[in-house]
Amino acid sequence: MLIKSIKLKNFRQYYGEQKIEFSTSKEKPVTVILGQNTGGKTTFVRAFAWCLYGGEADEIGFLKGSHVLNDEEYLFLERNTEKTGKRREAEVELEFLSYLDVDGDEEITQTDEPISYLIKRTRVYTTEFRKVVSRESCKLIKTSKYGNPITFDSEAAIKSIIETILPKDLSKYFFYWGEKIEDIGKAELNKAIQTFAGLDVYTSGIKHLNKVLKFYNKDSGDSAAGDEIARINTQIEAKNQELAGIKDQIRLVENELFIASERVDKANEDYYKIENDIKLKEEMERATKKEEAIKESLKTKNENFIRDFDNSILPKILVIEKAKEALALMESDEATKNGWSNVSVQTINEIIEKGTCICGRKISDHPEIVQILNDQKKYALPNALGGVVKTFKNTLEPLDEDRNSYLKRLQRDFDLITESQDMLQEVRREKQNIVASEVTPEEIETRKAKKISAEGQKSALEKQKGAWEMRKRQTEQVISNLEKEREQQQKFYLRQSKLLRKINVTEYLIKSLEIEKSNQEQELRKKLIDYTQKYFDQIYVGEAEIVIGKNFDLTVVTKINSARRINDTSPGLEVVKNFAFVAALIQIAKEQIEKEVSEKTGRPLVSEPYPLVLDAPFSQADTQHIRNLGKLLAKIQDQAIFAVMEKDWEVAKEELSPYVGIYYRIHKEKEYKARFMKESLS
Amino acid sequence: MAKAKEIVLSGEDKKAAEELFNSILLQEQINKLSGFHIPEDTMVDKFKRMIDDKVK
Repeated sequence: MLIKSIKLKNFRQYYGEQKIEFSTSKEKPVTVILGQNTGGKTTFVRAFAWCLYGGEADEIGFLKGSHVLNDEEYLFLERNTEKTGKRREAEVELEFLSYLDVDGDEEITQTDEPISYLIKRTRVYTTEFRKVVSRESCKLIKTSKYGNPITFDSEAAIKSIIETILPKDLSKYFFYWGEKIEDIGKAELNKAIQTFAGLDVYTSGIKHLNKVLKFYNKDSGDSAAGDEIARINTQIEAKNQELAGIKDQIRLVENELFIASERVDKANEDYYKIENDIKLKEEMERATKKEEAIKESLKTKNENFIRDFDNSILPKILVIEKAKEALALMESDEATKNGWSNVSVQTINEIIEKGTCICGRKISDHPEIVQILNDQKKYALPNALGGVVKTFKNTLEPLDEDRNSYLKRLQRDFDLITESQDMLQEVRREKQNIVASEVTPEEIETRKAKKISAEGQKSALEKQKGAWEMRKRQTEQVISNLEKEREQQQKFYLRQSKLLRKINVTEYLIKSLEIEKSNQEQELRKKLIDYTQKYFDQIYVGEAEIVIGKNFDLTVVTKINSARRINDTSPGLEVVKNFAFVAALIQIAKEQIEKEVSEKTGRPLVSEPYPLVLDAPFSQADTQHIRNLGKLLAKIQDQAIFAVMEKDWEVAKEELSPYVGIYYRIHKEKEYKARFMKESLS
Repeated sequence: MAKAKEIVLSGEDKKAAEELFNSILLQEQINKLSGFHIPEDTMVDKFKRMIDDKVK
């Protein structure tokens, strides 16, 4: 980065638009800006940082709450806050050259011909609602020898490009303003150098990882999952042993059950072997019972028959048969056929005489009825037997019915006796057919008892087996539950184990970052001591040694002899010491940039130059040291822009003049109006 | 990457740690570029997730 020009527009005391150019030649790399105290030298140096990195006024060293706009312009706005939309702007435009071609998307190439970058930063101040408000914007135009200009409007892209060419942290060591040189010894150098050397990245990483570690340690708790698994394993082992015992018992019972089953089969076989005999015996018993029953029945039936065959009735029955024969003979007579029974001739004559029938009907008028009555006299008593026969018949008929009924009963009794006799014959034949069993009833009982006993034993064993199997299932369930619990614990254990690994990895990372940081810090410290001592030796008149403390605090020790050293604290020496330190920092910063670019591009950065912009570099130094400083600064930098007080320049120019390419003088017209005037080299 | 010798890691975890080392430094560089404006909790969460993903 070589700065070609800077254009200021209403930037603090630089009223209106002013542009100055800087020497970029290798032979005369120095541009000198001469100015008085409070003339605007510091503002001029701060303008570089603001243009490149932006931000509020206090970020580049102005008072907090102040502004970068020219005060006269700002007062104009303040006077017009009633009117919304009044506008003024402060602007800084910086043109620089770089051999780095950067696009803002991390693509970097090194070029043989320098690329021109023009960065313009503007802060617009406007009146709004009785206030002055401001907004910042930025534009960057990149122009290479072979391509069309490329414009970048995005703040992020511009930031990325500028950070690549000159990181903001490192820029502090290229753009010094105000009292910074004097303050170097007092500043919190440790933090600044950490940032400068990139060690803050390690510090931040270590801090964040320690917080991660706290998370993991909190999660890990004080669990003893391993012990828990061991306890469950012991329980499972005990239960498995119990289960093995149960299984042995089941096998034992099964064996016994097998034997019992055999015994039952044998008992059944023995028992069913005599089953036929038992059946025969049962059949004989049944036939005998049946025979007895039939005999009993037959006896009763015989008795009934004998009772029914009554001697007193029998003659009657025989008479009836003869009477029936007599009746048949009598009925063959006409008188028996036509005569009325129980009607006498006398009765008939009386009816005729009366002329009225028994039923009340007049018969005198009916000769045919009188004729019938007269005819009937022939059959009626005492004139005929007809009526007698009729009466006899009527008497005989019920007796005949009794006889028939009696005979039927006798016939039935006889039939029953015959039937029973047949049944008796049949059952006797059956009994003859049943072969008598040789098995004794005792034997049958014995075998039956054996069968029942064997079945009882088998049933008891089956119950026993059932009980063992129930216990087996319960034990298996307990084991299954324990195994599930163990699985949970194992998962937990694995998680714990994983957590322990994470803790180890995190601790490893923290340790590695600490070691890496320490190594880099030591390397940086060594380099700083070497370079500072080297530059100090070039500036300082005399023999002294620079010592860099733990917090990068600088001490100069003067050798009296090999045994004694005295710290030197004179103001002049302080300036020389600080310059030597700044020069060393610049050297290291350049190496740092070269290293970073080399890492990104894959080839070493050898050609990128860097400027050194200093405000009042020689104040506080004595003449000899100013001369030495001037000589050194001109040599170590590719480009130097010095804002110098005239009195100091009078001393420094003896050594620096041959290297100066351009002179400017800041002319302070009013308190808030400064202007650059170009001066001739003579 | 410097070796933290006293912490013994398995080959797999060591490889993960080496990869994580570079990733963490890169994240911190990005954080630095942002002016260390990324909230601390975000960074811690990010690193924890990175470690969780790598150590399996």
